[in-house]
Parts: sequence; C-alpha cells; structure tokens
Amino acid sequence: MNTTLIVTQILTGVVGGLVYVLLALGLTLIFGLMRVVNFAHGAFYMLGAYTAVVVVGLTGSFWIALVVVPIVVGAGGLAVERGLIRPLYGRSDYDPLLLTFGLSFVLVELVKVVFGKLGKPFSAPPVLADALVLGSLYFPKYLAFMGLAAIVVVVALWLFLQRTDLGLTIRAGTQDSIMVRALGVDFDRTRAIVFALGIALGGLAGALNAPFAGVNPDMGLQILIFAFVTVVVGGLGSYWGAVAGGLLIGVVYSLTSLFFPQFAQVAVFSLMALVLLVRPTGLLGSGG
Amino acid sequence: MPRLAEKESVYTMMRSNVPRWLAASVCLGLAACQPAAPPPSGGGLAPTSAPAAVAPAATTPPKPATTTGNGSGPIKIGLVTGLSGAYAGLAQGQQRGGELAIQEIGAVLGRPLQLIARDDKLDPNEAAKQTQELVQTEQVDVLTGCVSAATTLAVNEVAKRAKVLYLGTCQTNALNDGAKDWSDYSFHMALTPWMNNQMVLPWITQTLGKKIYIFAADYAWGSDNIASITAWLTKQGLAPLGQSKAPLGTKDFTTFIPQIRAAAPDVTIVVNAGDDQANFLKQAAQFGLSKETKLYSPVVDVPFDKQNVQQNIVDHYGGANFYFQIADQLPSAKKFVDAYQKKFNEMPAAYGSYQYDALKVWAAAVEKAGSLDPAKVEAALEGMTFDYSSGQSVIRKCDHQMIHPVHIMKGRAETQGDSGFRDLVISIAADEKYERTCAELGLGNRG
Repeated sequence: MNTTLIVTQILTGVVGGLVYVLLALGLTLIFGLMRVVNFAHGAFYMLGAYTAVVVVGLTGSFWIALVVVPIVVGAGGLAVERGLIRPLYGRSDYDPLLLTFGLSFVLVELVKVVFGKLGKPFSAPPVLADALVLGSLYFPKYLAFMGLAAIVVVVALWLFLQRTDLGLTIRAGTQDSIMVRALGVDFDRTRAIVFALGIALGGLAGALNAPFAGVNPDMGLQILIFAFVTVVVGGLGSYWGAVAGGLLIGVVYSLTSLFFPQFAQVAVFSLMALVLLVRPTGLLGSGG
Repeated sequence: MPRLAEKESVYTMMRSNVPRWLAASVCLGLAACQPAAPPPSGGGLAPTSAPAAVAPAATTPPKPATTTGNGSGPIKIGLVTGLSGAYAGLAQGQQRGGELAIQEIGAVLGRPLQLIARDDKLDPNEAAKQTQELVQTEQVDVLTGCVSAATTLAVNEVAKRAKVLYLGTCQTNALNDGAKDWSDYSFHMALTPWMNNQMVLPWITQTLGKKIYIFAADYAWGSDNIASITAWLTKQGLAPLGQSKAPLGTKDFTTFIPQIRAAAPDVTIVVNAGDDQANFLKQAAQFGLSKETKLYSPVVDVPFDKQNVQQNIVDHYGGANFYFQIADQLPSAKKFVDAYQKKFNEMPAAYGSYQYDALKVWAAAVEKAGSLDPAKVEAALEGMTFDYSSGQSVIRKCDHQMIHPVHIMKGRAETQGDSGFRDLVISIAADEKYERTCAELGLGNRG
C-alpha cells in the first residue's frame, strides 16, 4: 500500500465530500429557517444534471450550463415553495416532509417520461478531460476543478450570510422567526429566497457532479442519503459542521473502500451512529 | 430567548431532539431509496445464486388442454420480462425481437402466433404471478423472456410445475445445473457467465496480456464472473493480479480506480453493466486508466454504449452474443438488422437477438415435431442447430443449454452516426467444450 495511493484516495474523498457539503448546506439552510426536511433535494440535484444536459445540448458549453443551472433550478425551487410548501406553514413538521417525499417521486417519474429511463451521456469539457500528473500522483483535472468550484461556492455563501443584510435576516430568522416578523421583516420573502437558494445549491451540485458521476433519473437517491448523514454528523444548523461532516464522510468512505471495499457504506453509517450516541447534536452543532 | 450575537449557534434553532428526528428521516430515506432493481442478466449477466424464486406451488394447475396442440385459433406465446424498472430499455428490445420473429414466422402448424407480453417489474413474485396468469387464464402454449436472473428462476419454477415449455432468454449458471433449478421444460437461450468467460480468456491472455485484474459489481453475477475467470486462469497457472468489487449502482468509482492503477495490470476485466459500466469507463478515462491498461467487459450492448460518450468507449473491449456491427461479417445478422431496423427504426441489441433466435428455433422445432406437445417439442429442440441472427449455434441435448458464439467488440475512435460505436475484433465460434460438461452439471444420465 503506497503513499501515493493513500494520498489519491484522500483527495478523491475530499472532492466527493465537497459534493455532499453543497447538498447538506442546502438542506440545513432550508431546515434551519423553514423547519422543512426537504426530501426532494435529491430530485433537484438530479434536475440540475438534466438541466445541464439540456443547456450543453443547446449551447455546447459546460460553463454556461454551470451558470444557468442554479438559476433555472432555483426558480423551480421558488415555484415549489410558493405553490406547495407555503400552504403548509404552521402545520405539523411532518406535512412538508411527506410533501417533498412525494414530490421527489413525481419529479423522478417526470424526468423518466421526458428523457427516458436510461441515463444520458455527459462528459467533462475537453480541457478537463484527462488527468493531472504530479510525479507518481494521477488526479483527474475535472475532480480538481470540481473541488475548487465547491470551495468557492462554500466560501461565497458564507460571506453572503455574514456580510449582507439578507444574510443577517436569514440568520436572525433561523434564531427566532417570530421576533424577526415582529420587527417588520417580510419573512415570507425570506423563506422563499432561502428555499430557492438551497435548491439552487442542490441543482449546482448535480450539474457539477454530472460529468463525473453520470446523469440518470435515479442519481439523486443515494446521494440524498449521504447528504442527510452529512447534516446529522456535522450538526444540523451548523454551517461549518456541514462542511466538516461532508469532508469527514468523503474521506472515511474513500479510505474504507481502499482497505475494506465492502464496508465503505457501512463505515459511513456507523460513523453517523457513533456521532449520534456520543454527540447527539453533531460535531459542531450547538449544545441544545 | 436565544441571543442573536451568539455566533456559534447562530444558524440554529435546534431543539436537542431534532438530530435524532433527522436521523430517523435518513433511515426512512434508506428504506425508500434502495435501488429497487435486482441485477440484470442475459448475455451471461445472471447471478448463479439469485434470490430464490417464490412460486406459489400448490395453486399451479395441470397443463391446460390447449398445449397439446389440438386447439384452434392462435398459438399463444407468453413473454415475461422487465418492461418497467431499471432495465426497461433492454426488455423493450427483447419484446421487439420477439415481435419481429413472430411477424416473420407467420404461422406454425397452420395457426397464427400471438405474443402476449407481461411486465415482471424485475420482481420474482410479480414474475411468478404474471406467469401463473399466462398459464391459467391465457393458457399460453410456450413461455419466454427475461432480463433478470431472479425473475427467470421464478418463471422457470412455475413453468416446470405447469409443464409448459420455457425458453429463457437470460441465463444463470443455476438453470442448467442438475442440482439446482434444472427443469425438463426449460431451454437456456443465452450464454452462461461460465461459458462467456471460458470462450474469451484464451484470446484475452494471448492478445491483451497475462496480468489480469478483475473489477466487478458486488452481487452474485459479479462473483460468478470472478469465480469463472479465476478458475480458468488458475488452470493455466496464471493467478489474477488482484480483484475488487463495488456495490451495484455505484456512481463514483474514484476510490477504486487508483487501486487498479497501483496494481499495474495489462488487462482489467470490468464486470458490470448499464449505468455502472458507463460511469466506470468515463471515470477510467478521466484518471488515465484507459491508457495504461486494456479494459475488457464480459458484456457490452448498444443501450449501455448509448449512455456513454464515444471518447470513453474508445479501445474498450467487450464480449457480446450480438452487436449490430457483426452484420458486416455475418449474413444472418445482416438480414436480422435490416428487418429490425425497417420495422422499429432503431438498431437491435443483444436481448432482441436472443429473443428472436429463441422463437425462431422454437417454431422450427414445433414444425419438426408436428405438434405443440411439450415432450415432442423438447425432443425436437434438443440438438437443433441454427443461425438466425448471431452465428452458428446449437442446443445441447443433455442440459438444453444454447452453445453460442461470442463476438469480441472494440470501441471505435469515432462514431458513425447515432450508433456506430464498436468494431468486431474476432468472433469465437460456439463449442460445447467451453461449457461445464453435463457430468459436471449432474446431468450425466441425460447424456
């Protein structure tokens, strides 16, 4: 077992983990402000990938797709919030959970009707198609790009939440939505924006991961579970908890699959169980 | 009231019970989001130890009178396959192959043919139910179809009890095994994983290299392939360099590819199909693995290649019972491809060819027997030779196994139109020496 192999595995684990981070941040933002466990998040991730397929088909450019996808999918999120989620505010926490659960099936089936049940071909842009060679280390250029892009998004989102008025309202609403409303903030608007933002992150994750993990109607299922695990491990509501959780899960998965491939998934869920037992609020969640 | 200035907890309005609640959601998701489909099979894709078929034994009626061939009206052919679910594309091709065969055959014993297709949803229970209904209500004269090993075992079981002929068009090592699921009434009209590998390994080791790494989807079919490849290599004094398995439905092979690279094999045998195969090839290209090792897959097919981008298929080798580009070399394939394309306006795939052959040879056997009586048709089918779409084949008498050629296909550098993906490298002629002997299968007494 040489060092190069272990380093490569850690790097791939980090990049895989960053995709979970993008999804988990969307989930945690939406849950934090709206108390909605968004089971349709995986479906929007999948929609992001299919939107990218369509945009690349129309424009021939993957880069345009990366800009268009979050806008289009985020707009879809906005419509879902207005039409489906808003009527459920004030009702049981389980109602939006069940609604989004159902919605995910509807979206997946719709995509199957429109695009067919089999996957669609989709590849990295030619400039990123091969591997970086650093001595004995081989690393796909596209994975390196994906990792960097995800880091940029994570930092930009953090700055948005910290430095802007809207970010302040979101943070305040997460703390105490009643007080925020009492202060005269248009909270409905804030909720709609947060939902759209979270969904746009999911869509972007799908488009980013598509050249690597492929495009098919069921692509959102497994990754959604990993995103939930990330949220639980990191600590629900904690921004950097989601980041730490995603990276940890990515690396645990990749290293376990190096040494004991059949236990890779088990290791991730065992990690979640362990965190829940020892630190129920997650790695960086508040003490509660 | 929480204080807004408290940075550490600023994103949370968590009550302490919420993480557990969310964990419960994860579990709900896990239960709901399991990949629903059992493995595909056919072209040697089938597991030997697929989940045991559940066939309601007690309710199976005796053979309906019409199967004796004394009836009038159309002869009914029941096709049970996975028309919905993950392999719907493959099953549709299979159904179309059947439809084309029926159109060309026209009539058997002076009676027209009717194909009744049923969806098994890739579920053994559903397959048993649909088969039961085909036998009881529709009173079909013969059963056929399948893309999943699990469902073929279920159909086999019902057919066996109802004493109706079954032409299985996907294969498991178990169906022609005397100790396992053997039935007098079943014929195995697809390559077994065992035969599929034994046929190509001499060519692989001579042409591509002797240092072999096996990478497989982690389920029975993958293990089956590993076992049969390892058995052949061991017999030659060549151990595989290494092996690893990824769960069925893996999207991200990044954690496996560096290990294969580290082993530095001449050839990597990639045992997977569909999305898994498309994604593996895509990522192998991105890691540069495709340039360092020859890649070979025991099964390649048009629907899989359509899901990929040509640049990822370049120089990928694969075995196929049928691939439309063999039509350049093989007159029977040319005839089949032309007719199929004319009827359906698309290129046929491997399952369509299996189904087409199965019904054609069955019709020939019924005419030869002069009757639909299963025992007489069985006798006529045994030892029958044919070449309808994919090369000279024979049905071995002792285990009803179709002995069939394998065509080794190599990914083209450039596509020609929508579906010009591969070139034929070599066709390996059918020979029963590649299959386990009937003595080994516990069927020596049927010799």
